[in-house]
Formats: sequence, structure tokens, C-alpha cells
Amino acid sequence: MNLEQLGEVSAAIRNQVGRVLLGQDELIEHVLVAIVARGHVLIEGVPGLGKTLLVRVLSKVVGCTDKRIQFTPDLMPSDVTGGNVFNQGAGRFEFIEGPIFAQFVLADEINRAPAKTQSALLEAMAESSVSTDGVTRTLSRPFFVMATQNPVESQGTYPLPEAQLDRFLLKISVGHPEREVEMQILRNHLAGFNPSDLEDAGLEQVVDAEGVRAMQEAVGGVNVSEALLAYVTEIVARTRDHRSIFVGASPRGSISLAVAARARAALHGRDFAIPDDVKALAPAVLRHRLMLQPDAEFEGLSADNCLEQILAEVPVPKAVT
Amino acid sequence: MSPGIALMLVLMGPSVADAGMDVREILDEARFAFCHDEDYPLSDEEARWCPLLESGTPSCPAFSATCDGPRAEMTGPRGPWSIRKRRLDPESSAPQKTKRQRDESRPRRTSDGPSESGTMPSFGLPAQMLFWIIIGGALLVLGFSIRGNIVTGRREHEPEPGSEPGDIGGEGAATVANSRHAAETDVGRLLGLAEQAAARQEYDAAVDYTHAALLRRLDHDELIRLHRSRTNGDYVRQLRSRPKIHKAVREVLQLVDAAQFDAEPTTAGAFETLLTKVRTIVTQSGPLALALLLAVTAGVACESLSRTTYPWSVSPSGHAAIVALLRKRGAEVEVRNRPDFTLTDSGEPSVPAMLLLGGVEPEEATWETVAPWFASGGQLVVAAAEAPRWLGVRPVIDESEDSLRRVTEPYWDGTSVTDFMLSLPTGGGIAGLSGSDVFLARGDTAYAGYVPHGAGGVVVLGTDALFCNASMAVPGNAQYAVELLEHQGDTVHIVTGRAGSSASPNPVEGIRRTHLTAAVVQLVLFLLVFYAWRGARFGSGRDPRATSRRRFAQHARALGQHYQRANAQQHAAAMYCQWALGRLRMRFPADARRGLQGLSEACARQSGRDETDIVGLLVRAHCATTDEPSDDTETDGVSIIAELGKLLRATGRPR
Repeated sequence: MNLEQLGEVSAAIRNQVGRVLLGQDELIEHVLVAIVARGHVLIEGVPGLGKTLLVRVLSKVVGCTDKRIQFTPDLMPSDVTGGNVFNQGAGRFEFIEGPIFAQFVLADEINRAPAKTQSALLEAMAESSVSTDGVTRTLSRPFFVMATQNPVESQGTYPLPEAQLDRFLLKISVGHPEREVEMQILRNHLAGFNPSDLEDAGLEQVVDAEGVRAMQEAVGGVNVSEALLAYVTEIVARTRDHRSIFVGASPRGSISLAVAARARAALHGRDFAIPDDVKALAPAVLRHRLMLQPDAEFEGLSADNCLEQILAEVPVPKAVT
Repeated sequence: MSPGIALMLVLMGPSVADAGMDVREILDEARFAFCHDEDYPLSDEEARWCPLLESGTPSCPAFSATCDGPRAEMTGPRGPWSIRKRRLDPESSAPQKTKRQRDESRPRRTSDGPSESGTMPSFGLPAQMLFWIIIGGALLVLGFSIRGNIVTGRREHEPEPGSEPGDIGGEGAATVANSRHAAETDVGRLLGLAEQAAARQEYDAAVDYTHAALLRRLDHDELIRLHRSRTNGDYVRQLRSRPKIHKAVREVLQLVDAAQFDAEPTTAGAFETLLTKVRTIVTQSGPLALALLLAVTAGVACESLSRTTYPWSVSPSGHAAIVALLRKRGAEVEVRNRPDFTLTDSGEPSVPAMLLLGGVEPEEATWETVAPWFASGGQLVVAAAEAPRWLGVRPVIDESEDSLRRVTEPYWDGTSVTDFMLSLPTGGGIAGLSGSDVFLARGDTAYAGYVPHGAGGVVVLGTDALFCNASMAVPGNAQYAVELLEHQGDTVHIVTGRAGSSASPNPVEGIRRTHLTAAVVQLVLFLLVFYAWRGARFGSGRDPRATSRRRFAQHARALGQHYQRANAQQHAAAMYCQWALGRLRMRFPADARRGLQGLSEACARQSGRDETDIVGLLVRAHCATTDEPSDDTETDGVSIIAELGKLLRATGRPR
């Protein structure tokens, strides 16, 4: 698949998903970026914004298997990865695959499970494989995890450590839709749209799993100029010098930003990345990789505020001043 | 022999240099349009000179023709500020010559045409010098600016010393180009630089220049705000509200992105495409419309400025000719609007001779203090002006058609003056003079007389017609007027009473008088269009928006929320209790020495509340600062804070 075809496929996927998931164009684009960049997404948003629907629609449109895991405090690692179960008929242990073996996994409210279970998922995300009882099993490709967490309820939760947050390519904040969009959602529901039954939605499969893998391969053909690499480096470096940031982004943050920018360029059918790609994705790539100073938090500053300041200061390559 | 007759003998004695030649030279000047332009519109009053000049005169050849033309339409107050327009009404009262007759009698108009507003007014020497200095300075500044731009442009195009264009590598060339287009802000020059770079086959630099030109134009038009941190996508988003230009700019910036960030080098064809699209955008903006409007309105303004005007001072009613004539003959002449009867330190009149023309009305107090001036030899000529009351003369209307005659004829016959010629239109006369003082009369009405006073005297004339420009064209009048004034002294002040006394009643009238109406209208139009073009941002500052600070209440609320999220209510309550107790101890220091009991008594006394409740509250607050958290931590901490807050308010004293 060349980049031109990739751009067309991307547009078709967006079109199909956008028919069901209204008013979430940026979310759809970011998720697609993560998919073609072989990354994973952490979505922060209140319940009811269509996160599960997005995964289901996406998996249907791109022809991949999907599973949903509802994280709870009593969820065990084996509930995620699967485990060996004794088959009395066969007289031996057999491995029963957990939901992690799907191609698209929705880890709902990931911060409600204890750290051990979270680690099992995060290991799978990083290694694309699962180890149980000394046996390592490779996950199918593409493998894409979309984890969610609720920003409001914090009691009884196990916040993800920064080191594990770093493994997500993007952290996306989802807000409520605009009023007009919400009215259209209402109209669709009153007209008979059932989110649990996507067969009636008339969705068309645009590509299959093999096509998604081809898309991921095609991203490698996108050129990232030296000037753009310098831009990425400067942005990440400034997160380390910002007065309100205690710990800035790691080199993994730089890599993620460059990779994500390249993926976005590919999704737009370009064989070169531009500063817009970097700037558009920098908040999503970096916001969960920053630790703020305590006084900045007390002041009500967020990582997004700091990134906004940084992006408003860093000169763009080839800028006219 | 009376002094008046003696004066006339002097006046009409052996003549000084003939004034006729001088008058002819003066009236030959183009500014005296009524002598050269046969279409000059005469007012009804000026037309009374026509019978006297009907046969034509060498010094004012066209006057007789103007008498046949239509009369002027005079608007505004009489005098210098009246506006004289050519009457378009074909049914003018004046008799009309046929066009052929007029063409035959019309002399060839030279380049010195009628006086126009563009003609330099006759300023004084210092004013003229200042005028030319300002003009010269402006030209110098303009020249230096142009030269500076040319030199700067050349320097930009010159290669850096020690390095040939070919020495600069791709990255280096881009850097140089970037630094140049960063400094250059003129769209035209940026496009020129782009073309020059393309001619050198440096297409990357050419694209950079073109990109800069486009963004500079959009920024100049306030469509975008340039900033080094903004991407092309940011600029495209800023243009969303302008669909027409949005699409075109987006296409161009996509080309720019491809040229700047693609691995493939930019080709000549790609650059040409880009340049064509950019040129289309940068030349379609509002300035063109504004320039067209300016051009149109400027045309209107220029047309109005080029319209022929008729300054009063050089009209037949003005007095520029007598002033010029006197000066030409060596007299010091000053035109004033108020008489000056002061004496110098040596007791001499500061102005030995003064001519008061029609319209001058000195205050009565001025005449009462004028005796010393006359006693010192001051000579006053009153021509239709307000004469001193003690003189006993008054103006009368003289409607006789008789010509002026010399009252002192027997004496004049005995002198060399035998060719007495003084022709003035009929009109005013004077009464109240004794017969011996009158030296000119029309029929039975005296026209001019001389009354000695002190060492000086007063010459009274019935009208000031003798001194107007039209009178100068009448043979003999100029010489008579000049000799009359020269006899008074070498320095003459001509008081017109009109040289500034008639101030504009309002600014609009002031603009109209200065013929600036069209220019002002153009300026207002320009401002209106500029406002419409720039919108509300016209005139507003471009400082960055000031970020508002959070109010203290918001800050405290945010802090409280953080404590709540951290389940640190007890900690917050302990800190608040500590602060509240300290505050109460500061308020009641004497009572606080007796511990919580004394503090409670003071609080109860101050607030009127029950002392037992206050003791309980203070003990709980004290415990909160030291004790372990209770089971009902949240409720307890919050309630203590609330109750302590109430107590503090109840015991608060005005600062």
C-alpha cells in the first residue's frame, strides 16, 4: 500500500466511523494515528462518550477482532491474559486465551484494577506477547489497546504510575459533544440507531487486518526532515526546562512524537511530515509524560497549559517572523 | 491760503516719477486677472468702474471686455472672505457680446493665466523662506529614503564578501534566505527576491521568499497574525471565516509545505505554480480598492483645487495694486487691520502716516487718545472709514452724476498742475467740512477735504474707491493716490479693517474659505473606508491580551479542592484552627494570658454568644491542632472550620 492509497483508506475509515460516532473527529484521527503508528491510546473521559462504541465500530470497519475488558479491583492478571485450565477429558492443561488476544482491546476504566493486573496488560502492550507459566505467546497483529479512565471518580482507584503511562503513545481527553452534535445523536437514536447492534448501522468494512498491517508498514515511507526533528527535540527539551514541570518528557516522548507525526502525515496521504503534524499531536503525545511541580498543580495548571505555552514559544521550522 | 490748498499745491506740484508706468507694470502681473481675463466676473459694485474704463486702458486691457461679461455671484460676507463665482445663469443682467466679438477683442492668454489657488500667495520673506525650507527638507528626506532603499536592495543582492553564491551549500543557502526574508517585510521585494533566487536555480530559497510574501500580505491585511510559533495550518485555520481566500491560501500553503519538507528538491515548475498562485492572492486584496477610491477622490480634490478662484486682494475691489505701487516707489507699506497711534520714545509718531479704508471703525477711546499723535505730526487719511468725531464730518450719499471738480481751481491754475484727472464712480460724499477745507467736490457735495490738527492733519475722502485696484487702471488716479500718500511720509500703514477681522464663524466656514472642502471630504472618506476595511481593530492596540489572574477566592477554592482530593481535611482543619486561635489571641492579648478560659470570656463578651459554647469550640479547635484524627474526621474538620469562621467574624473589629 502506498501513501496515497493509505490516505484514501484513512479517509474512508474516518467517513465510516464518523457516521456512527458524531462530533469526535479529533478522537477518531488520534486513534487512527495510534493504530498505524503501532501505539496504544489512553482515553480520559467521563462515561457515555462513545469510547466502547468507537472500538467496536473501528474493529468492524477495519475487519479486526475486538474485546472489552472491564477493569475492577478484583480483576486478576489471568482474567486479562488467559491461563491454563485442566481439561479432564484430555487429561491435560490447556491454555484458554484471555481477551488480550483480540486485535482491538478496550480496557475500560483501567485505573480500577490493581497494579498487578495493570502490569499484565501493559507488558502485553509493550512486548506484543503474553507469558504464562513460562510460555510466551505472541499476540496477533495488529494489536491495539484503547484504555479508558474516568477523571472524576478517584476513590478506590489505582492511578497508573508515570512509568506505565509512558507506554501509551497518546493520551486523549474526550469532552462532551457540541449541542448541535448532541441533538443529531438524539435524532439518530430516535430514528432507531442501536449502538449495541451495528449490523443495522450499515457500516462497511474498508480494510482488513492485513490492510491495517500494510498501513503500518507504509508509514515507514514518510520523510521527516532534519528541521522537523529539531522542532520535535526542541519541544521535548522545553518540557524539561519549564518552570512548572517537575519531570519533563523522556526520549521515548520524543520518539513517540516523531512517530505519531509521521503516522498523521501518512493518514493525510503525504510522504513527508510537516510542523502541523507535530503541533497537532504534541499535547496528546506528551501530556501524560509530564509531572508538574506541586505549586503549579495548586495553581490549577495542567500539563496541557504547560504544553500550550511551550508550543506558543517554540519557533516552527521555516517560520516567517 | 488754507493748509488744504497748500497741500494740494504740493500734491499737484512738480511731479515725482510718473506713476503710470509703475502701475502698468504692476497690473501687468497675471495675478490681477481682471486686467487680462475677459471672462473675469465683476461684481455689481465693481461694474460701476465700467463707464470710466469703457474705452480701455493700456494698463488694464481686458477690463472693458469683462464689463460685457456676466456678473459674478458673490457669496459670503463682503470683503476678503466673499466667494466670487462665475455666474452660470445665461440671463445675466450684463450685456453680452457675441462670441466672435469677444474672440476678436480677446488678447492671447499667456501662461500667466488667471490667479489660481495653486499660485504662491504673497507671503513675507521669512514665511517664504520657511516654506521653501520645509519643501526642501521634505524633498531631501524623500530622496534619502529612496536612496536608502536602493542601497539596501543592492546590498541584499550583493554576495557576502569572501563567498561566491556557488559556495553556499543547500542548507547554508536556506539559512541565508531565511535570514533575509525574515528581515524583509515588503511583499513586492520578497517576490522579487524569490524570482532572483529562482533565476539562480535556488528554488528552496525562492519558495521561502514566496511563502514569506504571502504571509506578509495576509498579515498586513490583518487576516492572520504572524508569529514564529504558528504553522501554516494555524494560518489556514485563522482564515476559516473568509471562505474565498481560505481555499486559495490552503492550496498554496500545501504546496509550500511540500516544497519545504518533502525529501524531493523543488522543481522550477513547482515554483512557478506556487509563484503564480501567490501572485493571484497578494494582488487581490483590499488595498487595490482603497487605492482606486483614493485616486478617484484625489481627482475630485485636485479638480476643486484647480478650479479658478478669484482672490479678493487682486480683484478690482482689492488694494494689492496700491500696496505694490507704493513699495515699488520705495515706501514702507504695511497692511494692518487696526490703527497704531502710538509714539516712539523720542515723541515721534511710530507710524507717521496712516490710511484708513472703508470698514475701519476705531473705538471712540482710540480717537480720544490720538491728540498726541497728531500733535507730533501724524498724518491721517480717512477714506470712507469712521472719522474722528471731533472732526465733525459725516458721510453723505451723493447720487449726482457730475464729475469731480477741483474746488481750488484758481490756485491750481497757478501751479504746474494743469492736467487734473481724477475719475471715480459716483457714490459717497462728506458733509460738515468748512468750505476752505474742501479741495474736491462733486456738484455741491464735498468729496475730499483736509483738516489740520496739531502738527499733522486729516485728509477725509468720501469713498475709498481711489485706492482700489480698479482705480489704479484709470489714468491719473494712481498718480493722485500715490502722491497723496507719499506726501504723508515714507512709511505708510494701510488699515483695511478686513485683514483678519472677519474670522470664520465656525470650522466648516473656515475650511470652505480655505478651499479645503474637497480635501477634507477626501480625508474623511479615506478614514471611513479604512475603518470599514480594518473593522473594529482599526486604531486598537496590538498588545497581547493581558492574562487575568485568579481571584483569591478561586485560589482558595482550588486549594481546598486539592486538600479534599487528598483526604486532608483534618490537616487543613488543624492549620486553620491554629491560625484562628492565633488570630483570637492577637485580638484579646490580655485575656489570652489566662488560656482558653480567658479567651472564651473575651469572645463571649465581644460577640454576645454563650460562653459555654465558645469554650467547647475553642477546646475542640485546640485539640484539632494536636490530637489524632477522630472517627468522624471529615465532618469534624469542616464543622470546626465553619464555626471558627463565624466566631472570627462575630469578634472582628473594624481595622
